[in-house]
Parts: sequence; C-alpha cells; structure tokens
Amino acid sequence: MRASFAKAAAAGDEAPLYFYSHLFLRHPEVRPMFPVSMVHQRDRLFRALGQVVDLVDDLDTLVPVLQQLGRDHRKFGTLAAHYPAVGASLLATLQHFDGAWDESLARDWGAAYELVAKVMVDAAEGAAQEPAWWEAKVVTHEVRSLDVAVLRLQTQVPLGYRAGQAVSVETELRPRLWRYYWPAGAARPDGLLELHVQAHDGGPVSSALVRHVGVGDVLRLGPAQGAATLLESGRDLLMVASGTGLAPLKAMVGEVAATSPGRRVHLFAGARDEAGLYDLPDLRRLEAEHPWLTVTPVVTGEGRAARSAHEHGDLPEVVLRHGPWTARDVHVAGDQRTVERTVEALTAHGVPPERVRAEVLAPSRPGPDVGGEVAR
Amino acid sequence: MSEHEGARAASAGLNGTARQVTGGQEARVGPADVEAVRFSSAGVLQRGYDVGQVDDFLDRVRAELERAGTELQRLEAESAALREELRAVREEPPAAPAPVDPTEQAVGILMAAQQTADQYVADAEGFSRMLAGQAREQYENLLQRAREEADEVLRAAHAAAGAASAGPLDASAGPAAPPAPGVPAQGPTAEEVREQVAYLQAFGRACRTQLRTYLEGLLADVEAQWGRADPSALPAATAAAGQRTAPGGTPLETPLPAPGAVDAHRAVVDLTGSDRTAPAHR
Repeated sequence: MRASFAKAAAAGDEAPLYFYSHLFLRHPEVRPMFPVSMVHQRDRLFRALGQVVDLVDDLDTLVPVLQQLGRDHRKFGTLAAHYPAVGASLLATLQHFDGAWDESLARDWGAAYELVAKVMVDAAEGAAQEPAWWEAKVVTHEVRSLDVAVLRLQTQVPLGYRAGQAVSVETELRPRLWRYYWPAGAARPDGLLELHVQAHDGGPVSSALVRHVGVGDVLRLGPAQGAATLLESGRDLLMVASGTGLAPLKAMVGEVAATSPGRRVHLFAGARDEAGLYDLPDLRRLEAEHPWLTVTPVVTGEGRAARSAHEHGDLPEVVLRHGPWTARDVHVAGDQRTVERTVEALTAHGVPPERVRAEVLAPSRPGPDVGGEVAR
Repeated sequence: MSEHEGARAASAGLNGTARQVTGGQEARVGPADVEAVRFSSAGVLQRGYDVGQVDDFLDRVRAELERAGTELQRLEAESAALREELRAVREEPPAAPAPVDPTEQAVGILMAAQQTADQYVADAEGFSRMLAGQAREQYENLLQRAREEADEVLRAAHAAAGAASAGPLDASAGPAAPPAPGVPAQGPTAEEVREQVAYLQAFGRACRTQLRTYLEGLLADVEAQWGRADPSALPAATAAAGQRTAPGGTPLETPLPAPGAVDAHRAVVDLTGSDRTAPAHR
C-alpha cells in the first residue's frame, strides 16, 4: 500500500490534480465547496494523506489527527455522504498512477480508507452539539497603520478557545479561503473577540480583512486549534512579540489575569517603526491595570524611519539587555525570522528549551511564485 | 381443514353454485353465491332448510369474512407503508443519479482547465503583490523625502530665526547704524518665522495625510484588480467599503474607489485638498 502511495506522490501535483478532476466530474455538486484556485488545496491533500500513510502503524498518534481533521471539516460543510465519493476518486487516482494495481491492493486501500473515513465521521458526529462554524459580526474595524487592522467581532454563541489557540476565518469576499488568526485577549462569555490582521501584499484574505471588510459584515469562524497554550508551571513569564504576533500573547496576558495573577509578566512588543506599534495604547492600559505586567515597546527598524523615543534595536538583543530570564517561562510569537532568532538567543542565554513556546505567523500563501508551485 | 372440507362438500351440493376448486384452494364465497344460494328443505317431517347445509354455508361465509378482514388489515398496513415511503421520497431532494466514472479524456480536460484557472488566479495575485509592493516602496520613498525636506526647511527657519534675534543685539552693541537705504530688510521677524514654522508644520502634516490617502487609493485599486479575478466578491466589497474607519479614527466620508473607476482614485486624493489643517493651496 505504501508503494502505491509513493508512486502517486512521485507524480507530484499531477496526482491530486487527477484526484480532484475525477471527483468533480463524478460529483459535480461538491465543486462549490472548494475555492476557484485549487493549488493550495492540492498541496494540503497530499500532505495530509502522506501524514496518514506515515502514521498508519502508530494508531495512537494517527487517530487524534484524524479526529481533529474530521471535526475541522465540518466548517467546510462536509457530510458523511461525501466520504465514499472521496474514497472512490482516491482509489481511481492510485490506480491511475500505479501500473501494478490489482484487486487485492484495491481491497486493502478500500478497507483502509473506510476506516479513516469512519474515524473522521465519528469525530464529526461527536462534535455535532457544537456549531460547525460561528457567524461573527464585525462590531468595530480600526485601521491602525498602513496595513494592520484591529477587528472586534461578535458571535451569537461564544466560541471557546484557550489563549494561544488560533481560529480559522473566512470572509464572503474571498469565499472558501480560510486563514488562521489568533484572537487577542482571553475568551469572553459575551462572545466578543478581537483579531489583529496584517495585510500581506497580494494576500487575498488578509488584505480584504484590512481594507474591505467593514462594521456590520459577517465573517465565519472555525473551531479553535493549536497546542501552544500558556505554560502552566506557575513561573514568571517573558513574552516576546513581533508585529501581530502580539495577539496570542495579549490573550495570554488576559489568561494570566484571570487565572494566576501572581505571575509577573514582561511583554516585549517589537515593530519595525513606531507606526507598527499598533496596539500600544491598549497595552499601556493593561499595564496600568495590572501591577504584575510590564510592557516594553521596541522599534527594530533601521534608519530615519525608525526614529523613536522607545527602546530601539534588534529585538532579541533588547530582550537580553533586560535579562536575566533564565527563571522564566517564555512565549514568543511573530514572523519566522524574529521568532527563530529570539528562541535561539534565549536558549543560548540559558532558558531550557522546554520552557520556551513559539508560534510563527506564516502567511498562508508563502512565496510570490504560485505559478512555480503549479509546475513543480 | 376439516371445516374447509365440509364447506367444499356443501358447495358441491348446492344448486348451480358449485365453484371450481383448484389446487387445494378453498372455494370462496362471493355476493353471487349468497344471491344464488338455495337450501334443500329439511325433510318431509321437518319444516325449514337443511340445518347441515345452512351451517356449512355459514362456516364458509365466516371464513370468507375472516379472510377479508385479514386482507383488509394487510392492505391498510401496506398502504400506510407506501404512503410513508412516498412522503419520504417527496421530502428528500431528488437522489443524484448514480455517479458515472468519468473517462480518462474528460479527467484530462478538466485537469487542463483547472490548471488554467489556477494560473490566472496566481497571475492576478502576483500582479497585486507587485503593485502593492511598488506602492509601498514609493510611499516610503516619498515619506523619506518629505521628512528630509521638512527637516531642511526647519533648519533654514531656525537659522533665519537665529539671525533675526541676533540682529537687534548687533544693533544695540554698535552705534546706531540704520540699514543703508535700498538694501532689503535683514530678514523676517521672529513672529514671521514662527508663523512660517507653524505653516510648514501644517504643510508637513497635510503632505503626510495626502500621501497616506493616495497610497490607500492605490492599494484599493490593487484590490479591485484582485476583485476582477474573482468577480463574485465585487458587490459585497464595494458595499462594505463605505463603512471603514480612517487611521485617525475619523470616518472616511468617501467610499473607496469603485473597482475599475480610475477617476474615483483622483477623487480620494482631492479630498485631502480640502483638509482643514492643510494650507489653502500647495
């Protein structure tokens, strides 16, 4: 079975392309569940399938992954009836790319897929008491800098999440494109939710959320995901944010306030220039409210544009200058480069790696050359 | 069965009402049988019908009624089941026709079509990314230059102010030396310099606002380009644009440029011309 998957995987983009074409011809009614451009969808499908095939001997790991997948697919409108359709096209695809395909392989794959589908369907049905998605109305929309907006959303039913978890967001302006964002601030019983959105050049969802979405619009949110929640050792905390990485850390400050206000928190908020410190007034308000919280804004850019009265310099260096931090738990969130360098610097500084949790904000569509991905 | 046998025997003895009995099936009683039934008289000594014949006939009628009752129940149950099925069928959406496996050729055609669509979307996004990047670069360059110019002007103004305040000192230190006639005045007074500085600061602010608005206009155009690649998103996009908030927190009166409307972009730029903090002319 692994061999036949390897053959399909070796065909690269051709295989998922064949799969989806087969599926849409056999079941035209499922096409509207997908976005116009299928490039990223195809990528995801084979990554997920590869993961399943890799883990097939390790059910303890595989089953929770499948359950999560099953629950998460509810927001796409996936029904139990769709699973056999996908199975049939999957088998047709494997057969197409495997010259040595025979009846017994077909039976094995059919049985394996049925099992996978059953775990996913059961998990989806188990989560049926929870909404498949939440409708969230935009109640405020503030453009804080050229490309950062802070949105406050209201859901009818509160969407439960832990600080540090992310929710997926879809706007009807960009149908079928879901992107992950971290709510900022601890979950509230009244269903209010704050999102920090940075518009990426050419990013369809982020730029729509910053520039086109307005008060009164309704977004769709998927269930919360992610395991990088607050470290619960009770130690004092160091938090380092760059850009909109501030959002999950602000949520953690909220959680500390609600659950363990004895822990001291030092939060560094980095941005390239002063305009990038888009949430400073609210951070100052939190700082005034909570005696255990210290906020240090840091301007990291170079040249005249970065002139500022705030701390200035390379973010990891500024953080270390305020040390020592070896006795604290550390949360880092932001762009990949800053997060990697900060984690590296803190580890070298002597913070044990298991006391550091990092989240990287990745634009969901990396690299400018999407065309290159198609050809790959 | 003995009852049935009896009934059959009785029917065989009835005048002209004997029924064909086939394959062990019980002879059934119909309305015609009841109409046509004749009983022999009981005998010479007794009045009335032959009791045996009447009883047999009644047995058959009872059997027939029982059968009819059972049959009715069965039919009612069947009818209810069918009605239920019909209702279910009516309520359910028409079942999709059984999926047909597509031909290799059809799959190939759809694959090519999907790739073409992917390519168009990728091109549109690439274009939007490039434009937005260029616009940002231009914004930063303009801002940088404006800052430098403002610094330059301020420096000049400070120098002039220094010179103006130094002027009277010089005059008081030396003997009265009125400026030679025909020579223009030494420079602006401190009051004039302050006015000029205030004017320049306001001008700087206006420039900033204007640059920002211009850039937002550009970005909105870029968005519109993206929108064209995905036309279904357009009406909602323009409707939503009317309610945005400007960076300073004041509502932007003018909606974002309508997609494709090149002039709208200019309208946004003109809007800042009437900005109250800006000088009346540039």
